Amino acid sequence: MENSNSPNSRPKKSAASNPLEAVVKFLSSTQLATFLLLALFVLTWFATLEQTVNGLKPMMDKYFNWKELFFFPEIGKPWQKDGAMVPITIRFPMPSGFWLCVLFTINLTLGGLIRFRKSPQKIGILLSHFSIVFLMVAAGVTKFTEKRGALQIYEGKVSDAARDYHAEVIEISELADGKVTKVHLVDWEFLKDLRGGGERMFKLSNLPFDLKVTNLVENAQVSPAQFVPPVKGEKVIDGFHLKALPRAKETEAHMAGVELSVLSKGGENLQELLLGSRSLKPATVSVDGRPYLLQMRKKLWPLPFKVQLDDFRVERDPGTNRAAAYESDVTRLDGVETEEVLIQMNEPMRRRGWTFFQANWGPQDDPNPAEYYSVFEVVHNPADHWPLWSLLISMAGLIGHFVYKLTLFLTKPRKSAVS
Amino acid sequence: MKARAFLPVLFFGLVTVSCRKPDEVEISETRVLTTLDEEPAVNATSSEQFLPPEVLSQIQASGQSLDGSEAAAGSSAWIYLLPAADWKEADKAPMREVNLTFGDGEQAGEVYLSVSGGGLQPNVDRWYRQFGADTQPIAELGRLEFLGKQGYLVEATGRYEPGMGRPGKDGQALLGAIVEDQGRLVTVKMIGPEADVQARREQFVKFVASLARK
Repeated sequence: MENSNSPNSRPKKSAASNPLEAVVKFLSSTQLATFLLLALFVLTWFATLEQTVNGLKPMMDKYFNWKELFFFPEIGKPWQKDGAMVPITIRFPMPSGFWLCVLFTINLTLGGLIRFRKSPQKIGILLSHFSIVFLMVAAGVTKFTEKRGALQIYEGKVSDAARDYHAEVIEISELADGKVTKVHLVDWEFLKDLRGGGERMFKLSNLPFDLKVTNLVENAQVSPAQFVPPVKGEKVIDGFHLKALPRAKETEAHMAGVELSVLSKGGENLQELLLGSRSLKPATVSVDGRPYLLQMRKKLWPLPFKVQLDDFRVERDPGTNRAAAYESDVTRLDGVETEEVLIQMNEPMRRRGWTFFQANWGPQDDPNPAEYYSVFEVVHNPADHWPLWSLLISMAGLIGHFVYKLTLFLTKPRKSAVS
Repeated sequence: MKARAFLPVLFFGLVTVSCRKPDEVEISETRVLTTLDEEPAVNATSSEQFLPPEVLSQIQASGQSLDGSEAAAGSSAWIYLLPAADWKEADKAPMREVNLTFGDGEQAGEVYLSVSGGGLQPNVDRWYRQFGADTQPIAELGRLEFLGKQGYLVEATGRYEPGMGRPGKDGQALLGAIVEDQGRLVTVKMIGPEADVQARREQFVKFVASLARK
């Protein structure tokens, strides 16, 4: 940031006549930094309010959406009976938190690092500025590259795929001799905006048919029409229809469903289907004499190695069903290399950029189940440790600067108290 | 140039609207195969895709099919006594061999008999889960006379979530009876407003005791 140490002694004529320098001066200005910090403060305040109404994940997606430059916040209407959360929209456009952070990073880089007057005495401050820039970059890398999901394994079983908590996909599997040979994906990026009745054609470049999604319900149950009659004119296909379930604040619990048509390459409607993430089995369609499996599910993150759950142990609080501690013995199967690892709370397993945290277990309502399953939160994030490094750099910089100032103070000649 | 001269630029930048997604998308993304792709379930029917096996077996046991027709004759042959004047026969419903209602308006509830497969404990666990309650081991449940045997009595209160997309309801209660008979599980459930169900506990026990096969 530009401050009293910045080179404001440069001739004014130069800044006024050179537009590039004017832009740089603005982007590095203390005024911009102040505006950005205030805006981020207000944004954080609204985000906290909106989180109570819409939940954490939808709030984060909205406030830090890099594809939008502004949005309208929603907060809970105050003084509602029984504390009910009724959202109201604030009709004031708020700038995207993502772009505020980008601007703040540029501002700090220009003003606090590049244009900052450098001297041995300022190394501590420079380090602190650098650590914040590094922290912002870490946040950006996390936002765009992090993979996070849950891996559930029963004792004695092996798995090599974690399920994303939020994103859903439509998978189309090619079959040969009853085995899956290839899986094609329609990503959530192309589906999520179809909520509420939108439709989109998906041209499957390597398959003899296309798909047309005609409706997507974010949290849906495919229900038998005979038991649960449609109430809003939902389309009934083969005795079932897509029933919308209430929106949950914890959107991890949402399981989407779609109505879709299988179309020939010529556009002929071959079959209508319902797919639901809650479904137990995939749908089978036959095109040109070949079978294909279609299913909707949470997006899978394939892992570069397999994990086998050897044993799961849970200790319960005396006299209750509540878990006091739980841990998993796993065997990591990485090619020809195998290794037995204990995963427990606060002691994850790390391997090839993937981290496995002990997150959950089940079945929890059975005190003596025939077999347990363990759930690991699986994370892949290149910037996993960057915040730690950033804080260490910041700490070193600030401690250095304070020690320097303290030394100056202690060594400064003092005037006599009595003149 | 003054720094504030950029503020209008920033403002107009903020009101720029992002691009809309197209109506047609070319899909070429694939993923590597995983252990979850092993042993694919091919040619599953809609029922197998969307209904849990225990629900499917209940449908089959009740002689119903998903299109509403009665699949097997003579599967709902029960004798029973209605224990109060406001207990009434209700329309036939899938998975219910006996279907009754009691009370009127806000105090209305239902009583129904089903025959199904599965184990005692899993069924009892499911009932408790529908009320968000902690399950109880079978050995700790109350007992009652049911088809000439000692059946188990399940009691739960709270918010009732019937599942399969049907809406939940607060302030409900369950009295359930379950017994193994002729290799199947016979269950009777009374569900309704908590105060009414509790007031009709004696009626429920009488009804269950009166049940017999024709």
